[in-house]
Amino acid sequence: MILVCLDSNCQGISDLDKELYFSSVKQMDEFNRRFNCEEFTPGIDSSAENSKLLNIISLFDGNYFTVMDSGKDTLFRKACDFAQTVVKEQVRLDYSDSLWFAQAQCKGKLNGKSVSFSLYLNVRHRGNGRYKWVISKAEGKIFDLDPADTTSNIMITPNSHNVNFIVLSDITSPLNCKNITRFGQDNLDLDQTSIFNYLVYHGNLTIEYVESLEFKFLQVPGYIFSVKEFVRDTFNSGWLIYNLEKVDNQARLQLMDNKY
Amino acid sequence: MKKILFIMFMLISVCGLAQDVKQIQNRAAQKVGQMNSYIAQMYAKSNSLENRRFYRDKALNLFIGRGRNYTIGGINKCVQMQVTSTNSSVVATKPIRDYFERIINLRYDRIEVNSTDIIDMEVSALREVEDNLYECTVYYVQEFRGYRDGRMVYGDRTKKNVQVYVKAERDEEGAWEFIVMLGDTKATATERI
Repeated sequence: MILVCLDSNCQGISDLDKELYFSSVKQMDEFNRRFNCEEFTPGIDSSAENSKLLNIISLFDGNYFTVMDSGKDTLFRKACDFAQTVVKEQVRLDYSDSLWFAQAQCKGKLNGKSVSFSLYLNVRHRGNGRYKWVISKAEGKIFDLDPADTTSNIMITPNSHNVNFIVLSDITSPLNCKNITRFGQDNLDLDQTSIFNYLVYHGNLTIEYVESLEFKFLQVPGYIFSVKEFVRDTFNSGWLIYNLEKVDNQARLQLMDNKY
Repeated sequence: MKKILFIMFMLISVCGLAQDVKQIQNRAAQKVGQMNSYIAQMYAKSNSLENRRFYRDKALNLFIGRGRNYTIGGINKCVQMQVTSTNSSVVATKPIRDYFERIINLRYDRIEVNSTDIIDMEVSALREVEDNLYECTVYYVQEFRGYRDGRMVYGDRTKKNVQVYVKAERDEEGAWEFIVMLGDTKATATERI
């Protein structure tokens, strides 16, 4: 198939822009390849000593290093320790890992009003080498069902059973419905994901677009790091690490449990 | 015996496809390049409106469902173009047909479009959606310049990610044939130039 530009209006981008283009971490697959040192950031000699460490450090948002960490140690030192752990433990990232997930900050409409909330998604194996993304959790203030009245002594009174619980029709009326959670037992555990599913199912909630997207990785022992896209025309752009937390394994497991 | 032959056939099929992955990824980038060529013709004010519409229709033929509704993964939808900007919080999502209609009717005397060379486009891993249907994403950068009275009055640089579907079919001789179709696109404008 001959594929040439059909018009002089269509040209290639300049050499300088090409350098920016090749430096940029353009997709998450490329982020993984660079993290795994299967591909090196332009300018890093793969045969040089410490090339792997440099390659991993090049995956950080440069602005991350300008902030002092607790006034004692710089975040650059923290990033170096992280990179050393990755190289020493031979940690690899793979799309099919269960130890990473996406957090999509969504803009939507709830009964016509603008709302925002988060959806957590992770990759699930479907068998035969096939995968899919699944919504593992919804999170947001709109799913809280905070009662309108937190002070009054609200309840279904003790003898209601003798009158066929007529009061139940009252507690769901527009006058009282905003206090529905107060008629439940104490410490009622409301599942936000179920509420999300319910609202979407009945057409009350729609998603207009994903306002921001980030990925959290838990593969590196002792760390959780977050990646998001920095769209800018500099050599340090694209999908980069913008947050690094040093945590114990218990915290990593807890985060996993919380999001799945 | 039949079972063994079937397994051997499947293994050969899968191995054959694995060898073709690079070729399929190249085809995906080429298809995006082809779309860019047609878009350049749609922008070109030296073309008549009828001619620009001709290239719009050719471009739509590159898309899954030809820009109309289709179903993948049980989701019925049409191909959409989402445009965001680092300078604004406005996110505009339009069906690709509407997006192309806007391109045809842009009011500039002359338009220049520069895109990443096909060979430099970043293509993600190829992932299987269902039997003989795969998807990947092609990334490239595009620069746009609009002129009026010989002066550039608007220009921007956008980073684009195009979803690409690849349908694998066997031809009459049993060899794999790959049908490449374009899907949703996310475009992020970084700055005015």
